[in-house]
Amino acid sequence: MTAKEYNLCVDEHADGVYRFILKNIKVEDKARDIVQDSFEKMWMKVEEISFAKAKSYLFTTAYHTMIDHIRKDQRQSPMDDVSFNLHHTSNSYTDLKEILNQAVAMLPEVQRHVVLLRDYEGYSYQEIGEITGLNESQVKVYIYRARNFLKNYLVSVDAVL
Amino acid sequence: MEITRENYEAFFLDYYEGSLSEAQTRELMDFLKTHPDLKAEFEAFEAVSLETTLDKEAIFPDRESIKKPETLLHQEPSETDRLLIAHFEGDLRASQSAELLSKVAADPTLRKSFGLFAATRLEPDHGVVFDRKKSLKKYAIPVFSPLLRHVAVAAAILGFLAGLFFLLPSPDHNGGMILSQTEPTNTQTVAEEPVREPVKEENTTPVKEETPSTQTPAPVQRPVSPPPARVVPQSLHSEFPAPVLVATINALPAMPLQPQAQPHNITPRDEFAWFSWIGRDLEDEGQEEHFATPGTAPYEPNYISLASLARSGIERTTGINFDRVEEEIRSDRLSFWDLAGAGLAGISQITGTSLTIDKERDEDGRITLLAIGDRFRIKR
Repeated sequence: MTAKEYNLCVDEHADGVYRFILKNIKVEDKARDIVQDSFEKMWMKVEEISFAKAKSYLFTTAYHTMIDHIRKDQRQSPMDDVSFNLHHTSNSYTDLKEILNQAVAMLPEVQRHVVLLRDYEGYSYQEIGEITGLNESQVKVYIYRARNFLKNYLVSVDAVL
Repeated sequence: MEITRENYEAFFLDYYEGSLSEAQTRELMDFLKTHPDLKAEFEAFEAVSLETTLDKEAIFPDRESIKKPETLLHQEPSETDRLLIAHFEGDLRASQSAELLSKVAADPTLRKSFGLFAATRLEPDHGVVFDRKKSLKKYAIPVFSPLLRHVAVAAAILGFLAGLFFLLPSPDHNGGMILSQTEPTNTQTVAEEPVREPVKEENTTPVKEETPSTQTPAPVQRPVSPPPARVVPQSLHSEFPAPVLVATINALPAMPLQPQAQPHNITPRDEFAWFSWIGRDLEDEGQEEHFATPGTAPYEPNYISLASLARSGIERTTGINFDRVEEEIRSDRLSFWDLAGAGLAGISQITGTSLTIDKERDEDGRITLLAIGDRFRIKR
C-alpha cells in the first residue's frame, strides 16, 4: 500500500472505525486514541498490507486495541456502570433508537462487537471471524443471540411502557 | 475420640461453633486444665469465631440490583425466531424467505415478531465523525532510486562547480586573473582615505603605521600606491544613514576596488589574496601573509565576515580544508579537476555516497576518460 492509499484509508475508514469503537467503549477520547493507535500500527506495516485488505486489517487492529483497553479498564474498575435493571431506565426512553442503544449497551461484549461489525460495516460472518478471532459458527450464534436479545428487550420495554 | 496435643485445634474450633456435645465439652475443659499452655491459643480461637459471626451478619443489601437478566441474555431464539433472524441476516434461500414471508403475512403474532426483528438492525450515526483525520495522514518523503540519487549528486557537483566558476574571477588572455572595475556613474565621493605613511619595519615584524616608530633605528620604506577614492552609488544613500555607510565602505578592503578604468591584471597569487580575504577572520588578523598586488594597501580586517562563517561551516560539514586547498593552488599543484574532486568528496560525505572522479590520460597527459561513479562516463 502506498502513502496515498494509506491516506485514502484514513478518509474512507477513520469515521467507521471511530463509530465502531465509540459505540463499544463510549468514551470519545479513548475512542480517538484507539483509532489513532490503529492507524499508526497500520502505517508501521504499510508496505506489507495491500489496499484491498487495509480495512479488514484496520478493524482487526482497532478491535484488539479496544479489547486491550477494555480489559485494562476492567482491571481498574471491575463493576460496569451499566445497570441491568430494566425498570430503572425504561421511563427515560424517547424513541426506538435510544431504546436500541440502551439494549446494545447491555449486550455481552462479544455479542455487541459482532453485531456492530455486522450492522455498521456489513461484514460477513467470515470477516467478523477474522477480525474477532472467532470461527464463523460462533459469530453466527452470537449474532443470532444478540438479535434475539434486542428483540426481547424491545418487547419488555414495550410491555413496561 | 480422645483430645490430644495433635488434634486439639479441631476441638477448639468445634467448641466455638457449638458442635461439641456436653461430654466432649467437659473433656475439652479437662484437657485445658491439664495443658494450661494451650489456654491462650484456645482464647484466640474465640476471636476467629467472633469474626465469623460478624461475616454472617454482613449481608450485601442490594443483591437483586446487580443480578443480570439471565432470561434475556441466555435465551436461545425459538425456531420461528431463528428463521426470522436468518431472513434478515440473508441466510435463507429465496424460496425459504418467500415461504416465511407468506406465513408472516398470515399470522399477526409472527408479523409483530417480524417487525421487532426488523427494528433490531442497527444504523450507524453518520454525524459521528473522526475529527483528527488530518493528523493521521502521512506525507511520504520521496525515496530516491539509485539512478535518481546519482543524478542528484551530479546536479550537486555541477552546482558546486558553477559556484566555483562564479566565485573565482575569470582568467584573462595572459593567463592571469581580471578584476574589472568600471567607473561608476552617478557617484559621490564619500571620504578620502588618508595617505598612508611609509611603514617602518623592525626586522621582519610589521609595525602598524599609527605606531610611533621612534625605536626603529633604520626605517625601511615600502612602496605604496596612492589610495583610491572610495565611491558610493547615490542610490545607497537613500537606504543607509551616512555614518553607517561611510563606516562600512571604509571597512571594505582596498584591494578589489581600483579607480582605474583599465582592467587590473593580477596573478593567480593575487586571485587567492581575494580568496584568502573571504575566509579570513579575527584569528587570522596580522598572522597571514597578504597576497594583494604590490602597491595596494594591506587588508586589515576587524570583523568576522559572513563568508568567513560560511567557509568555516563548509569546512566543518565537508571536511575540506580550505587552507590546504589554497596552499595547493598557490603552489600550482591543484587542477580544476582536483577542485571538482574535492567538491565531489564533500558532496559524497553529505549524501552518504562514495563517488569520485576517475580520469584516464593519454601519453601527452590529456584526459581521455572522465567517470563519476559507474554510471557517468565521458570519453574523448
